Amino acid sequence: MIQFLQNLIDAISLGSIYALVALGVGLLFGILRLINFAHGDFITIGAYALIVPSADVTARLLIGGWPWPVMIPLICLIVVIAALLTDVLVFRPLRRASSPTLMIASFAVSYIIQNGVLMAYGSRPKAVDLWSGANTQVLIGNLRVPMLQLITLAVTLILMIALSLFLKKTPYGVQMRAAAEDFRMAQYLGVRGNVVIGLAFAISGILAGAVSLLYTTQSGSLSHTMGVPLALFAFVAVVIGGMGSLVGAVVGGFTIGIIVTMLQAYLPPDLRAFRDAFAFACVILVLLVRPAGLVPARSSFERV
Amino acid sequence: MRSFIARHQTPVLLAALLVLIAAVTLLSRNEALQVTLTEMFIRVVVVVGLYVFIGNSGIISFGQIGFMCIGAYAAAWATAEPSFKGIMLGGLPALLRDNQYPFLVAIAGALVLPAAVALLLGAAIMRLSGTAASIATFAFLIIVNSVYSNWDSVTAGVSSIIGIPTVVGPWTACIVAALAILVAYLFQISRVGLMLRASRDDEVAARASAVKILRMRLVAFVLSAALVGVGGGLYAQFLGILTVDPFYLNLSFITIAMLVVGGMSSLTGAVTGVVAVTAIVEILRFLERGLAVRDITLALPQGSQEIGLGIVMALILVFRPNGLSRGRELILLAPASTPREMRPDQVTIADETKATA
Amino acid sequence: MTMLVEVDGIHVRYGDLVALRGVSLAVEDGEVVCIIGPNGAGKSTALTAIAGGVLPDAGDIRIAGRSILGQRPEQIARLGVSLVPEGRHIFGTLTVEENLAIGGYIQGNRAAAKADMERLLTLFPQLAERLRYPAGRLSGGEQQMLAVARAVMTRPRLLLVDEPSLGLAPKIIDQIYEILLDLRQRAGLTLLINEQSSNRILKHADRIYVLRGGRIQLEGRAADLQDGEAIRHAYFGFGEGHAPRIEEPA
Repeated sequence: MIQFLQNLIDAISLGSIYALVALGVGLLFGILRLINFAHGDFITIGAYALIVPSADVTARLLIGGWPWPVMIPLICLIVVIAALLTDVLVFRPLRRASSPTLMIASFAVSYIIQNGVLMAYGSRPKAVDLWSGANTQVLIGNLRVPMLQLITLAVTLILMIALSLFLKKTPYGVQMRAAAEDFRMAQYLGVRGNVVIGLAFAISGILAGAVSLLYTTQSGSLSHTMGVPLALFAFVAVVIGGMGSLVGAVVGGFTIGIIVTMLQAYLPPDLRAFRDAFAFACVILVLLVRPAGLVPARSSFERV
Repeated sequence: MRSFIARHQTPVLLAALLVLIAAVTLLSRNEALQVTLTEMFIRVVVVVGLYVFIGNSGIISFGQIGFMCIGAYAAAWATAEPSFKGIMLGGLPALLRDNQYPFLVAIAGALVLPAAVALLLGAAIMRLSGTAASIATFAFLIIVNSVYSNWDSVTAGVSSIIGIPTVVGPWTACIVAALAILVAYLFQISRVGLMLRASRDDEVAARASAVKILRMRLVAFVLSAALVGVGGGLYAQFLGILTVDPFYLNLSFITIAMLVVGGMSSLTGAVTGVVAVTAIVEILRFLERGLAVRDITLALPQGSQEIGLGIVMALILVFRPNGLSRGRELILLAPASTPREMRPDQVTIADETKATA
Repeated sequence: MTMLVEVDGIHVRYGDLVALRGVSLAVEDGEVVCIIGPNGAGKSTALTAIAGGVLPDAGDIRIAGRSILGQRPEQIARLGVSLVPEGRHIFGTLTVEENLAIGGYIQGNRAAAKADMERLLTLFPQLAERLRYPAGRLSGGEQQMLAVARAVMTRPRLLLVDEPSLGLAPKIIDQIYEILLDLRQRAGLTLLINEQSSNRILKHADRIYVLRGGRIQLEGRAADLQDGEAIRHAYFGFGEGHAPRIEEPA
């Protein structure tokens, strides 16, 4: 029983990370109909920004060594800038392009970023110790919960609430929701398309930045493809939860976290390696059975 | 007679182009270039395969490389040394494990197995909308990768299958590439191909005749998988060693890039895309090695190839979304009349409905 | 006599299909002008082009004398042009209040926008009742009212209305027209309205254009076209060619 609860907490913690990544992906999909293959690579950028650029195996912390009230906003800022750059350089010229073209373009951006990081930092994974206190265990009843997991959950909740308030209460939030539902009509009413899209990229960047910090602290290592599995599972989450629905993205993220953790814990050992195959088979199944997802959005954005 | 030749000149011209490239390169007697040449022809087979589905149906499939993996391993299972298979690939059926088959059998296997998988997968996912179908194909790629990486008894998992007879050289690959071009051409002028293209840009018409479209897409999907699988079979018998790693995101990106650069909606685009991107990559690779100028070597940093390719892709998408071929087919002889079926850029019903103001 | 909007020989194509051929029209400040024509004639395309939703291949569009060709819809909206499109296009997942608020953001002045909203809600009591409902739950007529009110929130000089009566009950249509004309009276709004056919609008319009097959077939003052003969001709297409202008007798 204890073991099960322990696994459940692991699952929820992992689910929070996936939920955050899925939110970033879902946000851009809602507004731009863009499946951003590069979102995982934004996370990679945030992580690598923590260290001194070099090809050494042991990374020396640069920004990562600074006090966290400085480090956290700075990392988020860097990722936001990267995200805005991809919008300005690649996606803005492609505003009127078709869905397939946008998909391929984001694929290209992902490829460029990954190889850029590879070029600058080398191909060997690097060890990084961001916060040694992360694994101190907190006693809750009979459970030992690593501090980091609690923090992850808290951060996720805070960010989700903040995003929800932003979308519901602020003028820009309302404009974003309107643009997500009917972009052209919003423009006719004076909503500035590029501003709304830029905001979406920026928020997406903040979410990616948060994930890069949480994930790097947890895994303790960096690699130029570190963002790929996160992004992949985020797509799964978004599809399962319901494309275009932010609530769906979050639900999907937690669902995936739970499925993956539980599969890892309870699959017979020889099948465990096929965990990813199972997860993606679930994607295909959901697409076939409930193409709108578990929490389908009636039309694009729903209020979180 | 002349009009027949004029109407069907494209595949001939494209094949001739490949032969020309082969001849010129082989004359240079450069070993390394020969390897690049063979790889290029194999990529032509794969990208033409991609085109058969993506170009005709308009749906981007990110997963076709999964079929290349299946085809490559099918060929490897057929032609690798039984002694190796006995030790490393114990899970294979005895028929495969204890015997060694010639090239053609291997290629047949590389064609049939991916096609069968495509039939099953396609039957399920062809009714999904464009975006959903694309995601499903992406999922398929991950699944293939995961399964083949872990099914040790059958694929040697993360270690390699070695000792595959390397019977594929530039001319073999060239011939198969030319055949692939022919097959793709025959498909796109066939009734199924034409109807599929007509429905490509028009969701409304597609939905109106939903069942028909499904079947046509399925045909294209299976044919595409077969061609890509053959490409995989060639690859295995060219390299001699096989692992799962190459058949993943990077190769998917490169092959899609080739198709996009050349032009997604024409056969000429598929072929020219491969040639153009291979040329670009070779140039960048050369620049990475560097030019010796007096005592200094000027070189691009490692990894410029990939970034360069990515940037070229992005530029093409922005400035020439129809690719280098602009969606048109290669012709030298002016045809007697402009054959409607040769023009990929047809007026579709979509244009009519959009204009109802 | 200031021309608020001038459309000058525009050609608009969707792919290979030509929607508008050499269409010219003009609307003066304070006028009510109506474009009528059968389905598929190009009426929506004309309004869409003025609002910036589609780019003509040829010709020009000027607002208050300055060309707006190639500008984005949000920029044109800031010049005082507001579109109520066919099919209403309200934001179904936003509340009625949020729909209206969007129109007001263009002002940059919260207090002014709030005052505008209150005034509009007195004109449209049905909307006031449903202020916090998701707009998707409104009836067709209420949605049309919302679309009009929302467009008016942007304080336009020119209101483009595309087939306001489509699919609505006569009583609702009356109400909407009443409000539109009232706004024209009070706020000096200029109106350019598309209709498939409407005796109703003929009573209130200053001038009429008949559009068919992407071309202007007829243009004239509503007063001169009361008997409907010339309009029927142009509408149903007897006698192709350029638009006969019906001049006022010298």
